Amino acid sequence: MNAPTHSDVRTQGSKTTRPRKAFFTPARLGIYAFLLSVAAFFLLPLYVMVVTSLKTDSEVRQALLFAWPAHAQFGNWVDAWSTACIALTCDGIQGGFWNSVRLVVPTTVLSVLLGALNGYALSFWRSRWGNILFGIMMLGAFVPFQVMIYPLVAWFRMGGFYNTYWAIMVVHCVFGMPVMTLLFRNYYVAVPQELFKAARIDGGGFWRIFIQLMLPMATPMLIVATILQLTGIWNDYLFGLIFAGKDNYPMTVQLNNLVNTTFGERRYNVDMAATILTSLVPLAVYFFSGRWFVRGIAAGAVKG
Amino acid sequence: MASVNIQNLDIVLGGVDILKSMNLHVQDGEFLVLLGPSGCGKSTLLHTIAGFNEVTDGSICIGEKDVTWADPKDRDIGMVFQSYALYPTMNVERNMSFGLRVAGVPKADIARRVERAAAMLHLKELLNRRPSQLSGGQRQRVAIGRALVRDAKVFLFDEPLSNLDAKLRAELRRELKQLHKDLGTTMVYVTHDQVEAMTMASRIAVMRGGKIQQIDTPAAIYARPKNMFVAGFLGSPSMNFIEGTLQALDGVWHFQSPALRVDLRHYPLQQTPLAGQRCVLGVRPESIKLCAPADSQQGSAQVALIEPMGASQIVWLNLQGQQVSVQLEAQATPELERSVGLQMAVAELSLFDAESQERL
Repeated sequence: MNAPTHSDVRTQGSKTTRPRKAFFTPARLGIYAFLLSVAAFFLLPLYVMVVTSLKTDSEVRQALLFAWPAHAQFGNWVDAWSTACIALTCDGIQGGFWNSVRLVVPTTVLSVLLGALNGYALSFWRSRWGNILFGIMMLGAFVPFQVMIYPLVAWFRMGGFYNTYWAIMVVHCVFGMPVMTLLFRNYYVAVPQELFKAARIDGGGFWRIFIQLMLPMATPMLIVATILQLTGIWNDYLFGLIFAGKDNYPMTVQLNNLVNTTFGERRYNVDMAATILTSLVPLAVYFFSGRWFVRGIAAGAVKG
Repeated sequence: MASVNIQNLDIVLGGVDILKSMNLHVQDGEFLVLLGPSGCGKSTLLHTIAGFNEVTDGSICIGEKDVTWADPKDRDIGMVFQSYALYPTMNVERNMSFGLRVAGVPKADIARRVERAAAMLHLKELLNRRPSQLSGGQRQRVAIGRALVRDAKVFLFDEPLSNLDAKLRAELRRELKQLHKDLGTTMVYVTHDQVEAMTMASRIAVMRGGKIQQIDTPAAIYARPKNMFVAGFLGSPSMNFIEGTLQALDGVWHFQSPALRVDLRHYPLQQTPLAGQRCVLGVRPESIKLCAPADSQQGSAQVALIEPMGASQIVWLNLQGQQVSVQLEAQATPELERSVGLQMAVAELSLFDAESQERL
């Protein structure tokens, strides 16, 4: 009806872009200030740990907690690793490190596989008591485990393997099972039953379907479960102290012994170095797998 | 190849009767389609044949073998699912050969059979792809291929085309029919799509509420539906139902409604009706011709709406307040709001009892 006006022509010709929002508004500044202060609050202890671990004994004695070391050196780390005295032996915490590795690796593999197996069986081979069993297992996840420590100790002693490598391994596997099972069950419940049926027609039995089909399919969940168990078992102190026995004390227990049972002067710098060494493994795991970790937790949360 | 014989089958799932004393005989080499709305038990029946449901009572035989309690893998069946159900971590070749590898078939034999199935289904270039790298149609072809390589005696299809778009569905439908023609294997196919049933089936079993309502060739079911449910389920647009009564005029049975009077001299009545019996006249859209109102002995109506379909058109008539659809060729030029006369081909009509809804 009307001829196009001048402004119509211009808007048709030029590309329109979304107007830019101002980057620094008062609200944003407030948010950033808050976030930065919170980050600083959580980073401060780490800063103190690192700085102290790099100081010489005399510098530590000056008690300037936040000061940067005048002569940063890694001697304390070497001490903590190989020569610091725990009770009467002076081998550092390297023994604890290897104990932890020896415990964490097979226990993680075993408990993750057990969880996957449970989840698979519960989701696909619907046995009559499956749901009740699952309910009982979930109940187990909510009972504080401290309650079960004394009965477990008594039971292990009766069986004759209290304070052994096997005792601590069994304990971690059993206490990890509810969460592992829940993770995998929720993952497998979302897998269409038809896939399982197709495999049944193709002749797959219980183990073949699990190993060749369901386990490779659950790779993201396997990674998440491994991270959870690896950090969980590495960080554990209580079970290690109670069930492992002197020869198998994991790194966390050794660290505590190092910090709390040295004679004479406290060498804070060595303590700090030992602490950093102990937490290095879970820290590294988080750093290199954070993406997977978040993904797995989110997947579990939505489907659970 | 084998027949499937189901006798007095009862299936109770979670305390609910899904199937009740079901009898079904699928002939050797037949393409049987189980057709029905969702929840009619057709999928349950198929999954029971496959061995995934506990049989409450009755028996299932495939060929000569009683498989009522056999494991799915021992039934000589191949199955294709709606969701494709491909193994996501394996490539196409390994997906198809999984069953053979489980069975310990020699490698050379596996390669030959996969090769043959891949050639049949145009999958040769895709053998190294993962399922996630395939389109829906390709995925379903792989699933069909996986069933093919097993050299099964009976193929079971559980709504295999329902997840595909219309064009692909028509394409795969044709391929499936071709496949059945080439192989001659017994196939049981579950769907709720009446077009799939009509186009592919040797016989259709229409199901409702766990019971088979009618089982016959597509043409017979379409032309002589046993009851109003079957009549309404097949055909698009669906059959028109017009209520009325049966009257004897001059010794000849007539269908009488306020707007229509149809001479039933040439209608094959199955039993002698009662005068004044309430009934429903079923007439398919293509069985009605239009003429000038004065030329019709049956009745007249007004043109209310026209839906052009390309090759044909659907004309909606207003028959004293009731919508009646008529299918005309594209060249016809009905005018809106005009009055038209109806001419129904009596031999193509269906009459149902208003109470029992069964065919008269």
